[in-house]
Amino acid sequence: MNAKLLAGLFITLLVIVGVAAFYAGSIYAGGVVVGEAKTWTPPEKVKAAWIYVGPVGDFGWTYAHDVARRVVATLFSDWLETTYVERVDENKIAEVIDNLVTQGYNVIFATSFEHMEKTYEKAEQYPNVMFFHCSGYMRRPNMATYFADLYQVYYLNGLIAGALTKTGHIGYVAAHRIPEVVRHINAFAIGAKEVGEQLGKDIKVHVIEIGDWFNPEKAKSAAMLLYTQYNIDVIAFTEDSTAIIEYAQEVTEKYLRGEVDRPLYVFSHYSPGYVYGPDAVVSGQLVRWEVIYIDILAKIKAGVYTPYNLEDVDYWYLLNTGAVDLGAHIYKNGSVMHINPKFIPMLKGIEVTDKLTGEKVSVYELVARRYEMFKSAPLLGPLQLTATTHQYESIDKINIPPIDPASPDPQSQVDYYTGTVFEPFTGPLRGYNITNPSQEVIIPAGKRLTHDDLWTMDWFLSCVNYVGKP
Amino acid sequence: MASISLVVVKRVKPLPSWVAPLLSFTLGIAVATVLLWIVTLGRTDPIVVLASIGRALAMPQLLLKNFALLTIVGIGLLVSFKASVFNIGGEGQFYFAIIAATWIALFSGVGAIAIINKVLMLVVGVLLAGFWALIAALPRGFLGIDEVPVTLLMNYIAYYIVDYLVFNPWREPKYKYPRTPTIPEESWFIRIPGTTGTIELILLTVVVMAGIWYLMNNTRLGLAINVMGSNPNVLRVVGINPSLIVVSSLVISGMIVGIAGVSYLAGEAHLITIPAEACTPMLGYTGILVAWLSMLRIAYVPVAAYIVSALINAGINIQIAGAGKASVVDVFIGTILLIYSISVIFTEYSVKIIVKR
Repeated sequence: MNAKLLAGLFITLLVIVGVAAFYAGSIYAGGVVVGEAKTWTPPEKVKAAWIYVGPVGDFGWTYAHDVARRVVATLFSDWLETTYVERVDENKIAEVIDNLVTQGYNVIFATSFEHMEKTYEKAEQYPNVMFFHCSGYMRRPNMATYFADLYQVYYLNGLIAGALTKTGHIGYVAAHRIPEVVRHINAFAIGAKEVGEQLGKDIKVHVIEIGDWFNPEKAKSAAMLLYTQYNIDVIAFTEDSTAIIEYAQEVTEKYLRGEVDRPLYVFSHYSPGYVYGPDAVVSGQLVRWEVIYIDILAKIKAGVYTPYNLEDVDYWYLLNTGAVDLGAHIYKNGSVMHINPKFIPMLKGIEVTDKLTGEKVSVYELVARRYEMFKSAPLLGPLQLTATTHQYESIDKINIPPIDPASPDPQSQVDYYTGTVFEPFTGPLRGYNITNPSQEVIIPAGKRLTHDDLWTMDWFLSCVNYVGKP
Repeated sequence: MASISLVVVKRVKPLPSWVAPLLSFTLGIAVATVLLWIVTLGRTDPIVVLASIGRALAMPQLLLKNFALLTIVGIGLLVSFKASVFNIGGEGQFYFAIIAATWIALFSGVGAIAIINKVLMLVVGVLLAGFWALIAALPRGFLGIDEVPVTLLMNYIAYYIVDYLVFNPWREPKYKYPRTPTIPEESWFIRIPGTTGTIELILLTVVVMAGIWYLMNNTRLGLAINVMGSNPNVLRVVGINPSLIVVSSLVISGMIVGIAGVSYLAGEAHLITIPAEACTPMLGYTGILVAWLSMLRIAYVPVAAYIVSALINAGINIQIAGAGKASVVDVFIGTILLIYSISVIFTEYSVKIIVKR
């Protein structure tokens, strides 16, 4: 056949199909409602898609999101249809969203910080699709943000780390030096210092930033460097694989056999990592994204969330909601192993002072008390859902006016805690600015950091030593 | 004793040139589909896979961006391939153009000035991409050092330079995430509503195609590049230094790829994310496939680019349909290229089985 004819035919065909598809696409993609009265009927069938930055098998961040996806897909199976696309970085997300919308997905969860700008652009382009972006700060009428934060859990891990370390040197492998991770490192260091200093240790937290969310090799070599060069015996991390847990288990096994002088105890990150290091994993951070996804999807189904009212929807969920938890393992019956039983006797044997009450308690008891304080904050939950109410989270307590000032009624004399009774980020705290280490940061005694302070944290506690990139 | 021997015979008249690409697309898709079905133990439904590819082919509005970028990169690489100079360094040239354009948009002070910003981004981007190609072109042209490993390894140097710049001086100050700030909205290419493409990108694609067509068919340099590919000695005879032709073909190639780099930044990415070696859209490599499948003919580059961009999109659709993972699309592209490489031999040669008694 004549090659030119063939090419000509092909191009003609393309143009025809193109024009047809263009119109079909533009009708589908909406813009239909723009300018009209914004009445909204919740979709009969919700088609929700999750966009992941990593592989679903990472056993960290992405795995946790996908577990949650499967929970909601099973729970709401009569009206919810789900799908996911994995390994989507910034250069692919626009195409992925285009394809999802073209296929009729009306709720899209973008689960990585780097998805933010592109998701925002696409939300502008598809005003009838609801977008939910995890960990970012850009919102619009059809784009909300949500996050389950682990800083309280890192603080609890820190308390344990401060008790376990013998050298006083603690490691931390960080993915990126962004406020979220900085906040976690500081919370961990605050906990470690609180217990460690009482036991006469000079606590130092050495941080290596690997520059990747998921990179088992870099994570492992960073942990190895910290163990061999910085004399650490406890480590925590923010990276989405089990590489550091496996390395810590290897070292701890050697220690138990008497081949090395110190173990490497580790706190598992995001997914329950106990099974990868039963001798080395002490505790860790767990997340239940399903707590947030159930809430979002139920509200979409009920017509509470629409593409026109998401501008101030901003979930900032802490331990009180159950979206995060302290632990490294979940038993088959669903209950959580908060602390590896192997370490409990040791932690029960170390005595410290609870600085809130002045009582002498074991570290185990201290962790339990703080956990309880974070858990039970009945007024905090409703404040954590919207951008406009975050400011009230850092008010620790209020008192209501009495009916009759002459004889105050009993409830008017009670403290109402809007936040948690105890907040790790309460002054006095000392640190240094990350970009300009000579600039000192001082949080005066008694000052509680606000949601915004935590959200934009750009300073390290003075006991944090930023080693840099490996 | 019967002996069987395979004899490779050069065809008197080669098969028509469209046989190899057509065969590789159809057979490649078929083989890859079956292959996926087998290795995933039946979990990758061939019908879903084929439906996804069909769906992608029928949605040009979603393919426009990749189609145009791949066309530009394909044309750029074609210029060097024509001279038998194998520019595998498209990725490096792509990123060097991005470095230049990012600097103009963010730090030169003209980022928000309409027209001037885009013109400067393009000019400086193209020049820097050409410079990056020149580094490999000079040793190839004058010392005969093989350009394939040089251009390939220079991709990684380019990635690491980008990583260094973005991780340190260019890091966005607000959240300190390892990426640059977003370039000013005034420097963005203008999106064509309902599509993934931008007006400037389409214009550039047309200009590049027309320009390179003119260069290759109506200029002394174009003729020399064509001759260089078949017989450099002819050039010497007519008094043209083949070294200069090699250098210019590689530099022009790099500059054209640079246009795609700038278009990608201004039309799509709007910022650089690192690690570049992981975040790259891989157009510099995928463009090689496009150039080969076009049989090094400018008119067929868009056809090949269209099909390849449809395959990339099909990969996403296959995932949405729950029929496979992100790597499915790599299997398709790899199989097609493999079958192309094999079948292109058979357009010029035939194999006969001779049984002797």
